[in-house]
Amino acid sequence: MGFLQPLFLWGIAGVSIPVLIHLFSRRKSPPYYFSTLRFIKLTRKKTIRRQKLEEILILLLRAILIAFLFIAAAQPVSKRALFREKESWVILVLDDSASMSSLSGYAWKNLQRASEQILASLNKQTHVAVIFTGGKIIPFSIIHQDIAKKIRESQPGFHGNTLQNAIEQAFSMLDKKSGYLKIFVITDMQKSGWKNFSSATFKKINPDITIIDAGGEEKPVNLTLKDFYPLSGKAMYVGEIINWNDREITAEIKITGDDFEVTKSVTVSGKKTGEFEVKPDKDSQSFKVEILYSDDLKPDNYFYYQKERGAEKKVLLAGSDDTSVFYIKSSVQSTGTITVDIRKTNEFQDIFLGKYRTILMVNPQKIEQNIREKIIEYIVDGGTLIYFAGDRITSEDFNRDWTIEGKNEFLMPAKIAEKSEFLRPGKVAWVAAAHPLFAEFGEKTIDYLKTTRFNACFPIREITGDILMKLDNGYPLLLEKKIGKGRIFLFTFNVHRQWTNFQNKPFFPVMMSMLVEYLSGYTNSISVGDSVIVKGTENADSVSVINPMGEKIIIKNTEKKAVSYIPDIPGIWTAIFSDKEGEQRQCISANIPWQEGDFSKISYGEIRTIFKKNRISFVSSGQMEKLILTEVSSGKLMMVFLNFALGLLLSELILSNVLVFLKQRIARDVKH
Amino acid sequence: MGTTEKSSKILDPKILTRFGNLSLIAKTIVEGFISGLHRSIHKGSSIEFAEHRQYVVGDDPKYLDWKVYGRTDRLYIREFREETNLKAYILLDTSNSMNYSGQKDAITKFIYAKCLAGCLSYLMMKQNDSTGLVAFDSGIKNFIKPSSTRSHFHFLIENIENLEPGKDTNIGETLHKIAGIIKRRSLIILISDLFDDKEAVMSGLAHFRYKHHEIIVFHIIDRAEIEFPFEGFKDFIDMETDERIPVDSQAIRKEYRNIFTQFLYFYQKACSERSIDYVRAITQTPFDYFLYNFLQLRSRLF
Repeated sequence: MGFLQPLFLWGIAGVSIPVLIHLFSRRKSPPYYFSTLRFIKLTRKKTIRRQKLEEILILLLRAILIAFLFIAAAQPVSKRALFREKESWVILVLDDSASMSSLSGYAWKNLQRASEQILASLNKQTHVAVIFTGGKIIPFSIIHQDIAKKIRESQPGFHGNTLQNAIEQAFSMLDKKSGYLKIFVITDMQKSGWKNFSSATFKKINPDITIIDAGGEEKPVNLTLKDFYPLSGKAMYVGEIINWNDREITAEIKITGDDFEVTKSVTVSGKKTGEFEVKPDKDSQSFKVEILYSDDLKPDNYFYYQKERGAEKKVLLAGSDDTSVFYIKSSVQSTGTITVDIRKTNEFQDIFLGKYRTILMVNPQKIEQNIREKIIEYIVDGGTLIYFAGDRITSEDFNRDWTIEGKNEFLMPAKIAEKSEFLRPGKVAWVAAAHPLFAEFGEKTIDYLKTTRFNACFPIREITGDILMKLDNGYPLLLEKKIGKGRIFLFTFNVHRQWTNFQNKPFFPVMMSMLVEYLSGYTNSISVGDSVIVKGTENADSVSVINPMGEKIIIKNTEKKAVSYIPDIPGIWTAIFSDKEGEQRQCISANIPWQEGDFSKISYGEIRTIFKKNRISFVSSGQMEKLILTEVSSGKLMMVFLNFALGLLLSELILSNVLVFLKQRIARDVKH
Repeated sequence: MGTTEKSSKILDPKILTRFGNLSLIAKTIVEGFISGLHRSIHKGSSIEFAEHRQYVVGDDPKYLDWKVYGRTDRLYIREFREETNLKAYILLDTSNSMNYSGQKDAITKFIYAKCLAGCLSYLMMKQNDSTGLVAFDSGIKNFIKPSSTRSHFHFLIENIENLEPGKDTNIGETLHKIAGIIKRRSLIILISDLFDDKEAVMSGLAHFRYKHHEIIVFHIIDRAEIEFPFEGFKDFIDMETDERIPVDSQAIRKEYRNIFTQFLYFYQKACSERSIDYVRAITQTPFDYFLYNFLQLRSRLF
């Protein structure tokens, strides 16, 4: 038997308390000079001896009670407990996130040692599986040596902590398994890994869970690069750096471009995020930002930034109303970074929609069934649509056409009614200022719209999305809806002078470009472990992905759809494919999630609240060295000792009460 | 009992012992006691008229009965039988166990015994009995031969007053020794708590009986010794041996009382079997009770 919290064993010294009380109270009895002890001695033979016996019995009970309480608190563990069950299924969930490589891999070595000890202590018949949080899985096997070997050979990755997925996976793997179920989670207890953790989606089974803290007590001195991005319109870049320590730290930062190198010194106060600006002489496509501050968490010290190359932001504009199309086109193109393709809706049949970030439909005609389906599929897969409703469509057609067949779901944010023309022009009265679309201007948006007038719009009914803009007469102007992975923005008016003067106002191009940026813009810096979708690959048979090490991976594109890959090391990843327009390159920088730099630990209590239904126990990092007989069902043994202690407490109470009763009876008899 | 309530109040040992002077105490007690009796005992007991006989030359003329001469013109001598010549020995136990009192303000058994001894000697002095004193603990400490003179009484009282409690008791053996010393038939008054081996004590007393002494035992007991009214845990220390025993008083009380009652009963029974007068004296009891007891015995004896 061993103990998970051996410090509590010191508490057994508390046994001395009743002993001391016993001795103390003995000594305290006052002396009394009596004429003779002749007669007392005669009685003493029986009474005093029994009295002493009772005293010692109670003393013993109390001493054992205290000892048992502390043994229970020390969480006794027994190797044999696991083997009581005929069949045991054990899953090791190993946290191989980037933070595990901190402190020269101390945490990772701890993890490997702990898992080896667990494997060594298991019964030969125990089925063991391993789930790495990075996604690697070793399926159930009873050949423990193989598993141990694989764990020995494994290395921590660069991805963030995805314990939620890994533990969920473990629950699913244990589902419908009979016998003793156990999950060991070996992690550095990083708080970020448990953020938004929820066991709600887990299978409804109750395995024992042991969380082993491999992180150690020592916190690495740590700075993390959070972000690096260009300021649009200026040849300037901004970087964000987080200081996780309590004290102020000055860091040397090296920024390496394609053919230049700059060094900057940044001072960040404790527990704060600092910013630094760089104005390189030459512009560059990709950047590597590095903290020269020497600490042990090497992989977290650099950050890659890659300007987009190849995959331009393309927008598909469809519409037949020339003026409206003109306004929209010129507004969107004013950003300078977005290319606009103008097509008629009936030409959509031949276009691979996936390569466009956004489809803009301005006062479209009635759309054919097959094209509608294509658009719906595009949106559900993650595309975005901006729709200006105009005179060419009737409300009946609109409401019928955009119903997703078979699902009884309506694609648009709301159904529309017959066009309503106002007697008095309407003004914009309300804007969802907190929406990211308007975030840049916030509450001021309304001011920019002061002179904008609306003569007509489509009233809406059966709203399923969110209203973003409203007129003073209550009619909504703009609605948003998320559907599948995509989004739809519905304007209930057309940009035409019969409807509004909005298109003539300076805010219109600003809003349009914001909208297109908002819909089409995704960060071109992602975290290691996130999936990257390579769009526009419809005609490519395969996509080559080149990782930062220069290794090439070929992904076959048999389904002729957008392909995806998951970067597993930080750096710049390039996807190359050929389509009609020739060879295309899509580059993306993958970075270690900045949260990995935070070494603050989650408390046991917080974890307990997550797994309310499961028996959960903890092995702290301080005990890692002693973890030879790996805990198995400490909970059970703890309960045994607790029950013993409870039993002792009861018997002590009963015994002392009986004694008091007897004494009282004697006293009563004497009085009589 | 023959004493009035008033006298019993006067004779309350607690009040009396405040006087400090033993002869005064003894006097107060005895006079108070006597004045309370209906029948005067001044006459009768010490010198008793026996017969008249004719005066012959050489007779002391002070014994002539002038009343008879006046009536008959004949000279008659009143002849008295000299009363007893009673010799009494007060055997006073001065062992340390006698130095106990159950309550803080109560008198110890020893003081009580001393008062009792004083009273008895005063009473006997009044009756012209000769009184002696033997004080003892583990051995004989004082031995004063009996005499009936007033000066002797004072000497006796002084001696009693100066007695201090001594060491442990060895009553049985001491009684044997004393019995060996006292030759003439006497009245032996034993004042003791008798905390010794019961059989040894009885054998010592039997020795006296064997020598035809009359014995009266005043068994001095403190009420606390009978009732054992203590509470809780106490370290009981033997006053004679300093032995120490921790005791849960309540737990042993019942048994203790049984044992002690048996102890008392034993003496009562054993004494009556050997025609020894046994008077139990609890220190709270007024003295006149014992004096009365004593006098009853005294008048019965001689």
